[in-house]
Amino acid sequence: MIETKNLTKAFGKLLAVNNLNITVNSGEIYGFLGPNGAGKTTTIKMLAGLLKPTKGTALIDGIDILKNPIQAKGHIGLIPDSPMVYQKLTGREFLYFVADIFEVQRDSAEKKANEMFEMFSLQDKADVMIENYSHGMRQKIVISAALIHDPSVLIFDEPTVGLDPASAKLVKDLLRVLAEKGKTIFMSTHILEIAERMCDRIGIINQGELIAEGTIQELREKAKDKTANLEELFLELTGGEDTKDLIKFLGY
Amino acid sequence: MKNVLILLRTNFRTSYNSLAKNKKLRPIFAISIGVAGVVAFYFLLKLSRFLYNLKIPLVNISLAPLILNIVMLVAFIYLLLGSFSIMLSTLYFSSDTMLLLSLPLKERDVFSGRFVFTVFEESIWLFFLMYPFFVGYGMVNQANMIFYAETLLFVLLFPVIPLTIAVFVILPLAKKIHPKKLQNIIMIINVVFSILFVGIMQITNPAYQIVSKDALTNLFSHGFSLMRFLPTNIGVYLTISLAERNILIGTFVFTIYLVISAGLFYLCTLLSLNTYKEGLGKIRTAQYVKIVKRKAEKEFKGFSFLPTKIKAIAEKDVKMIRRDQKLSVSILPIIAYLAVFFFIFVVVLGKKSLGNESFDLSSFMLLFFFVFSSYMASLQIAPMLFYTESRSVWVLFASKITSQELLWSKFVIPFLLGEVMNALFFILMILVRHPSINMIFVSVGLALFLPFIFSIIGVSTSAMFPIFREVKSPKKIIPGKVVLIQTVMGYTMFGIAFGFFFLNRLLIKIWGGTIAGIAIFILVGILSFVVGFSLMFAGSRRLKYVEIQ
Repeated sequence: MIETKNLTKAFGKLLAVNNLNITVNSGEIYGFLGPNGAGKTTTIKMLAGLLKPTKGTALIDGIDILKNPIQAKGHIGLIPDSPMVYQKLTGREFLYFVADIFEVQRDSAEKKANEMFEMFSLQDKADVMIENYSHGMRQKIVISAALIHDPSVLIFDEPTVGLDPASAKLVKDLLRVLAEKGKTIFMSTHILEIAERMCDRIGIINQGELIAEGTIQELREKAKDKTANLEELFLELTGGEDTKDLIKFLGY
Repeated sequence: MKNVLILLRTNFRTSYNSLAKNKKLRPIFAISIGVAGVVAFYFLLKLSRFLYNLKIPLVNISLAPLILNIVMLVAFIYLLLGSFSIMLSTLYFSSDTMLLLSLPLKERDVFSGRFVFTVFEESIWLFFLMYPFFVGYGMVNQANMIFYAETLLFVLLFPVIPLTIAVFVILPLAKKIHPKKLQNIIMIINVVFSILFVGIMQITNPAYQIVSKDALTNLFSHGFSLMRFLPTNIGVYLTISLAERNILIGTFVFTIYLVISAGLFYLCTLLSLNTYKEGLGKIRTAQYVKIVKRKAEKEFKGFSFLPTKIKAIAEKDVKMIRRDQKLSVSILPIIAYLAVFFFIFVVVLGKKSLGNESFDLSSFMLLFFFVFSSYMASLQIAPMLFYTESRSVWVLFASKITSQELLWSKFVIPFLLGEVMNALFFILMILVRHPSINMIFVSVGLALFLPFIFSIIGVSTSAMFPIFREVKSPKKIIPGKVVLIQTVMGYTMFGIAFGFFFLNRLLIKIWGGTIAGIAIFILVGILSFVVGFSLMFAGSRRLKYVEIQ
């Protein structure tokens, strides 16, 4: 479970995230949407303990990420938007390395790593250095690393970026299976179709503020448009509707 | 031509903007750099005028032409050695390569723009470091304005020839070998060449011979006889002719130089027509090297005694050093320098035995060596290993690892390397120098504890500035502030070693050599542990969050 309490981050005068209060329950997939620069990645970094909040805190399975960061991180699997990993390690070595840091027994890590390689069709590349991997393969190895210690909370920043359609579908199915197993899944995405089809609840952030939250149905009710899809709701809530007129004006 | 100018303008703008993030600070930084350059210029000008006025009494010859030639030769060799890496990075690894390739630009224009900008960049430091020697020469000889103008142009164009030589090698090779691989090969050749160069210098001109007056005279006479064969001699002819107001000859020599430079540049642009595009094509995909499946390596058991997390990171770092040629190549010179210094301090200077109890300069040099060795092996490597986490550092910071564990894991390799180097040199010292008991205790104290404290300084000061970024060279990965702090701390340690030397001398007089040695050993140990653990605690307190750029 994830719970944020007045989570705030300021960079100088810029308030990147302002008093964010959200709760994501176990077994739930929570979609975190917002335009570019809205504060999505900043929020994710604070939830994962990579960035210190200016004010407020976040609880991971009831553990305060500020007070007990190490214990809280043990419950988290993070998949960042850009899969920057050690280029000179092989995929297998990288997974074992992460397993060691999370104190996973080697037998168990080996079994889990082989499962991941098979699931993501990386068996042939397991012993190849990561510098030889494509972007999508790196994304797969990062997802595998995030799952190797069987975390109860998964934080995804753009989970399907760089993946081919088959792998993207695999990740989407995987997320559903993990949620059914009771994992808490928090994901930010720009792909509204994914959010609409997969997420149990959606939060929309704009200029650091949570401007809407709920199921698709609840968001429709809020927008007083019962037939609108998520894209239309998103544009209406984030003030992007003007773009339609602009595109029309430009003659496209 | 128009496109080349557009590219140059963009390069200038980018360089200026990268001076500081804050727009208002940029002119301040630019002015500060300019002031520092002027100060260096002024100092070198004074130095050159002083040197030009010197005469060697025994042979009664002026040093001026020799100094001019040495300055030009040093600059030429430095440029030639560096130009391979510089041109390779500029031509193939600039961040805007992909963008430029997608624009309607000819490869020849991209090449020319980058080459001219590199010449400009190199000319800046040459102006501040080399031109003062020309100005000084002109002032001593009361030269006219033509001298200053032509020599200025000569200095500004000086990088053209070494850079074109590099281009003639790089462009055809990059067509066949992947530029990334070529970069590693060039780095290795540079290191091997530097080591060989130092070795040859040492063999042909051992340091102890220089102190002889005859040898000094021979050195200068030898220098003069060699001068006419040096490639930079054209600059000396040009300078001397102009200074002596032989304007016609001087200008003729300068014109020849100009024609050679322009001709070489033109040939480079012709070469780029057929080669540059193909080399660039190689770096367009992520899979730039032949994919080699690694055989299961024999697991390294050397760190089995460490806790699991610290062991995992240390083992990972060992793999990175072994596999990342850029990293291993930057560590190699440190070990090579240590070997050369050991040769000078212990073998060359250590002709006499240290069997007596007194402390002479030779003994101090020996102690200095252990400080130097620990400084190079531990303090130089610790921050490099810390920051090579680069943008992958999120893996550690999103994991279940404390900042204490992270810092100790980064401490392991530099500490062990320092200890191994010191142990090796200690054994050699015993064999070569036959030191006294006092000397053994003091040496063991320094050899044992200094890698400990230097490694801790390296990681703890790095932890105070946890900024991780992606850079091309491992040397640039350490933030400037950390380099500055560590340099100051390194000098402080040298100062402390100096203090120990005098303290030991004092204690020998009071207690005798053996007890004095034991006292120093204990004192160094206590100080190292107290200061070391305090610094580690302070570093880990700061390292809660990181900045990933």
